[in-house]
Parts: sequence; C-alpha cells; structure tokens
Amino acid sequence: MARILIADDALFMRFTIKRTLNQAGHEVVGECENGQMAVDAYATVKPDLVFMDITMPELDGLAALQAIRGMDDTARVVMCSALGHGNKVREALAAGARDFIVKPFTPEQILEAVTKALA
Amino acid sequence: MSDVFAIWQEDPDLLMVFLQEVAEQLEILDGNLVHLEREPENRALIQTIFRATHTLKGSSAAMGLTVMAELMHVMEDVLSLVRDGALAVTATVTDALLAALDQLHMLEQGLANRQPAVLENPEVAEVGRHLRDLLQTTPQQVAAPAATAQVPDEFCTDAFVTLLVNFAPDCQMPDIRAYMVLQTLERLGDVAYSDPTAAQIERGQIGRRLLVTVTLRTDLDEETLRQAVANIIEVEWVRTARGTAARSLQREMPSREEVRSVHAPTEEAPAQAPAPGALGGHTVRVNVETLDAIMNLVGEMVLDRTRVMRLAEELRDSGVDNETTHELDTVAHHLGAIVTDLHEQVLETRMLQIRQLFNRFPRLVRDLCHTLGKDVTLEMEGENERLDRSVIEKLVDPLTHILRNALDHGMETPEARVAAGKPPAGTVRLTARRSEGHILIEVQDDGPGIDVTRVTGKALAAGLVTRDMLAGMSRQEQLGLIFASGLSTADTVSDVSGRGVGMDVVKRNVESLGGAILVQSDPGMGTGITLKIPLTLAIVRALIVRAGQVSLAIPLSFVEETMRVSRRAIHTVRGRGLLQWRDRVVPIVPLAQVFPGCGDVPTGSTRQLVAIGYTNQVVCLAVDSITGHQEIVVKSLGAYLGEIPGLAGATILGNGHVALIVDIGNLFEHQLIADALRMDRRLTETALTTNVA
Repeated sequence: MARILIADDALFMRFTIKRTLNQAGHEVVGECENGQMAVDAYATVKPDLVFMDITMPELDGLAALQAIRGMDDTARVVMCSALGHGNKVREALAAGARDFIVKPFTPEQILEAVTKALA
Repeated sequence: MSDVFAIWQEDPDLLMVFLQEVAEQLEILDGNLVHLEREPENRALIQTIFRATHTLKGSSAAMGLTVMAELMHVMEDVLSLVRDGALAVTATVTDALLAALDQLHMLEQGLANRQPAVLENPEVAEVGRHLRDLLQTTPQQVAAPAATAQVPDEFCTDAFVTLLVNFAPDCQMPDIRAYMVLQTLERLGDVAYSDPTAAQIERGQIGRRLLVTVTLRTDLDEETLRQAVANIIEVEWVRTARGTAARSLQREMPSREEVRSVHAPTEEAPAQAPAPGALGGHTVRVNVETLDAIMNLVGEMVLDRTRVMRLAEELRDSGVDNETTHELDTVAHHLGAIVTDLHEQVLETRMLQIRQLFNRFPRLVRDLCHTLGKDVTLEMEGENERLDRSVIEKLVDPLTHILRNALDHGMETPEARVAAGKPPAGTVRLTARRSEGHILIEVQDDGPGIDVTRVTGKALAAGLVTRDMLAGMSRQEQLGLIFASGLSTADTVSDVSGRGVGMDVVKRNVESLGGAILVQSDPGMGTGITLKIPLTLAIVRALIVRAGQVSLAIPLSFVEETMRVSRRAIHTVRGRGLLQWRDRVVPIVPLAQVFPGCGDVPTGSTRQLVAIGYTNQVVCLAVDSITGHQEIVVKSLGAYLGEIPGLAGATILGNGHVALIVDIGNLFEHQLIADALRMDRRLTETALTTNVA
C-alpha cells in the first residue's frame, strides 16, 4: 500500500481523492492547500506519490513539481488538471511529472493512476 | 496592395457594398462558430458557417484581396472536412477557426479605415498556416488510416520496434496522451517514425485521435517497451512488433471504428435560416449617417407637431371660431398623426435586433471559461427584440463588463459548485424583453450571490461610507455600493475583471444612454443585474413637472411612481421629510430646494411627490404639479450656460416653453439628496414609531 500526498486548494477535491485512496487501503500522509505546503510536506514525509493540482495559490502545481523534482529526481507526481489546460499539462510532463488525470475524475481513474505510477 | 486601394478610390460604392457584406457574413460566423464545439453534429450549423466562409472567399477574391481570400480558402477546406465528417471538432479546431475569425475582424477594421498595412499583417498568414496543419493531419486520421500509417520499409528491420497504441474512447486529452507516449519512447530509444508525426504531436495538432503508431530504434525487448507505454493512464492496449512483423501489425490495426469522428452522409443539408440580406431586390443599403440626419430632422418635427397642435388648441380656446380655425384644427391633427407614423417608421429603420449585440457573448464566455478554468453555459433569450443601433453599440462595453464580472467573481469553480451541491456547470442567463418604451436587459447567474457584508466591509475600508451611513441603509442600498467608484470585492486582482474600476464605469455608461441599472442578489440565489434602456437615444420619454416658475423634465426610466400625499403622512425628522413608501422609508426632497432658482417650496395640505429610483436607492422629489409626460428631444444647454450640476440639457415643450432636463445620476450626487439618503435609519424608525403613537 502506498503513502500518498495530496495537494489541491479545493477542499472538495482533497476530500474525494483521500476517500478513494483510503477505501483502497492507501495511506494519505498529507493534505496541502497550496504548492509551497506541498514542497515542504514532500521534504518531511517523503511520500511514494503526489497528486498535484495545477492551479493553486502561493506556488502553482507546476512550480511545486519543479521544486520537488529538484529535491528528488525520482519523485513520482501525478498532475490533476481541468479540461482545457493542455499546455500546462505538457509543461508538467516535460518537467518530469509522471502522469496526469483530468477533472472531474472517477475513483477508478484515481486508482489506475496510483497503480500505473507506482508500477 | 496599393492597386486595390486605387480601384476603391475610383469605385467607393464597391468598397461599401463589399464591407457591408463582410460585416454581415462575419456576424453569421460570430454567432455560429462558437456553437460548433458543442454541437459538432449539427449539419445546419456547419452548413451556415460553411456558406458564410464560402461567400467571403468569393467576394474577397473578386476584390483582389489575395491575403484574405487565401485565409478564407483554407478555412473553407477545414470546414468542408468537418462537414464531411472527416475532421472532428476539437478544441484545437475551434481555436484555430476562432483565431481566423479574429483576423478577419482585424482585416475588416483595417479595410474600413483604409489602412493597406492590415493586408501585410503576418498574423493572417500564421493563422492560415495553423489551419492548414489541421488539414494535413486529417487524411491519415479518417480517410485511410491503414494505408497511410504504414511503417516505411527501411524501419521494418530487426533494429526497430513498432508500437501501436490505442487510448480509451473516453480519454480526456488524447493529444497529450500521445505526447506522453512519444516522450516515454524517446527515453527508451531513437524514435525513427511516428504517425502522427512527432512535430504534430508536440504541437498538439492531432485532434481526438485515439490511435498512434511509433517506430523506434532500440535494443530493449518488446515487453519492456509495451509495459512502459501501458503504464500510462488511459492507454487501452498496446501492440508491438520487431522487424518485418511491423507490416502485419499494420494489417491487424483496428481502424475506422476506433477512430472517433463525426461521420455523416455527404449530401448537402437544406439551408436553415436565410442569411441577412437574402431578400435581395427588396432591400437597399443606406449609409448610417443619412439615417442619423433623418432621425434628427424627424426629432425636430416631433417637437413642432406638438407645438402646432397646441397652437390650434389655444386658438380655439381663445374663442376664435371660424372655418380657418376648424381647418387648422383638422390639418394639425392630421399632421400630428402623420408625424407620429413617420417617427415610428424612422425609428424602425434604425432598429437592429439585439441578436447583433448578444452574438459576441458566447465567444466571450467560452474564452473566459478557458482562462478562468470555469464551466459556464450562457443561455440567451429575447435576441429578436430590437433597439436603436446607436444604443446597441453603446451597450457592448457595459454588458461585456457585467458578463466578465459574472464569470470571474460571480461564479464558482466546478469543484466548488459540486461541493455546494450544485451541478458543476454554472449558468448565466442573458435576456432582453420589452417594457413600456424600454428594453430590460438582464444578466442572471446561478453563482453564490453577492456577499453584502463583504461589500459593506470594503466600502468602509475604502472610506466610501461611514458606519452610521451603513446603519441607515437598506440591504438593497448596501448592494448598490458595488456601483460606487473605487470598490472591488475581489481579494485578488485578476486579468479578467481588473481592480474595481468596473461597475461605476458600467453605471455611468448606462446612464449616458438615459438608462438605469439595478442589482439584485440573495445568498445562494445568484446575482441579477438589470439594465433598463430606452429604445432610442434621440428621443426620451419624460415626465414634465413644475417647480415654482420652472418646468423640468424627468426621464421616465427613473420614475418609480407619482403620488399626491397628505401632509399628515409625511414625518419630519430634524427638518427633513420622510415617507413610508412600499417596504421602506424614503426621504422627501423639494425640487425647488435642489434648484434654488425655481422659487418657493410649495405649501398646502397635500404634496405632489415623484418617487425616483436610482441604483437601488429611492428619493421622493416634491414638486408643485405634474404637467404630463411627452417625448422630448434632448438639447445641450450650450456654451453660454455651460454645465449646470443636476441638469442634462433642455427641451422645447408643446407650448413653446423650455423645460430643463434633470440629470438623475448627477442629482443623486447633490449635497441635499446625499445628506437626505444618509439619514440614520434607527432615528427614522424611532420617529415613525413615536408619530404613530
């Protein structure tokens, strides 16, 4: 079972992702409301995987991804994007994001992302 | 290019007709193109768009405008693929078409202003290239995928592995999935061949293609490669082959049914709505300036009609009763009837459907949704209502601003909406309807509504109001603070709606049209902004009142009610009159006090009051009497008098006298009225209770 960090400024999204992960037996090791919190949390909890929203205050998902990959180039980060943010997703993938999922996502999609990203 | 302009100088009429047609066809494109994304299978819609494009291609070529004709040509090619079901309408396709439409607008503007440089704008060609790229990806996509996706023989050796990758049909962004496949394989070998090409994939120009072929030179075994690609989310299946086996892989390729596209029969759909101007021989094009001149002349005539009728009446009343006066009476009435008809007909020629105003908004909303990451459906109603063209032009900016605000501040993100138990997509309704010589335009959203405490908090912080003033304001009046200059409730300044220089400008624009603006918002019920706009600018319907020696005209848009009340119904608090009116207490201000030149404030057992509503505030003006209401033509006071606070101009009444036109917006800034509105509510309520007791 994996240790997972969630970064999303929307409480609702954090809640949905967390519930899905918990039900599947994964451990959510931290919830972050912005990119900066995600970077700080990554350094302390060293999760197996990060779900990272793209649009966030303070530090956006892209900048947080870069910061995390700068600390740990094996970091596995899955971006969460809204439809229509294709260019941001491209940039994130080029910057080392493992994969991406598109909102609104189903529990199956979240779990597929975990399985595939940790494979 | 200069040759073209030389021809135009010789034949300016040709230019005019051409530009008129461009404007008409652009209007069709503006109104329809943006809907294509949501209704990609609407044949009539595609046909309408195709036809407009085709028309523009023909006429621009005929005008010798090669640059424009080429752009239209490639647009037409893209649309014909869409029409034939060979190209799916993706966001990429819509974006490219809308970008072309933007360029067409620039070209139209440039040509109308006789700027030859506009034809040399490199962006036109750039947009055209972008469209052409769409054409290049499509034949492989649908027309013959198996044939064109063949791996070249040189790559069918043992040094190369070919992968055939298929994405799930409900895959959200297949173009980026393809990019991931390419990116993954580039790390595992040297990509020698791909279909679509690497450049197309990297630029995101492959639309909703679900099948991708990649051949790479690599030492890794097939299973490792397969596993790497299969680990990408939404990859449905992967097939691999090394060497010559790649050829049979191609033959096994599941082709058409797995490539999502709009496949429709190719016969032409019958035309739906006839294009504007299709009446052909029954219409004639008239210059707008000519219409303006006619309108002004008719305006003068309307005034004279009223005067002539009045004179005939006076003559009869003065006892002169002979055949001449009878004749004059008859002629005056006949003339009156004719002028009224003429006036209506002229107004008619200047009327445009509100559709022409509303058409631009679906595009605005679409673009804003992309920028803001929101999902909003714009519903429109009443596009067939008509308004004077000059009014339509002046409503573009205010409405654009209101819609921007509605999407930026007035609408939650899809996630927040779901969290609040609403459907993820928000709705903004834009409606127009006619009401007593006015058009009511309403923008209603289903967002969270305006947080009044935030508005008042910001207003306090900005020093726009004091705590005492707030305490004396009703909820409606507090909401009205959003129109105050320098107020922004947004915590962060965004590109979209800026920093609080918005609604006050909107208010001023609407008032300059003689219109009024009102906001309604209840928590959880969304926000509604209503504009009350006179049908035409040149002639205003006004209430004529007397205050002392002076006649004043009050635009009817602002008049809520006229009433005669007993003095006993009026409460006096600290020397100010107050009236219980509907569900609120409103101050009474004698008009003669606002304009001291009018003479004495009236006395007597009853008072004539006119309730004036203005951006959520109400004041009762006390006047001597009400003369009636009539259409007035606004004249400025001229340089001699200059601007007088509270007055918008003057007009000539039927009796030949001059009436001064009250500028309501300005009037509400008058010290006397501002003070009256600032009265402490608690004091008011105490006073009313004691009076009753």
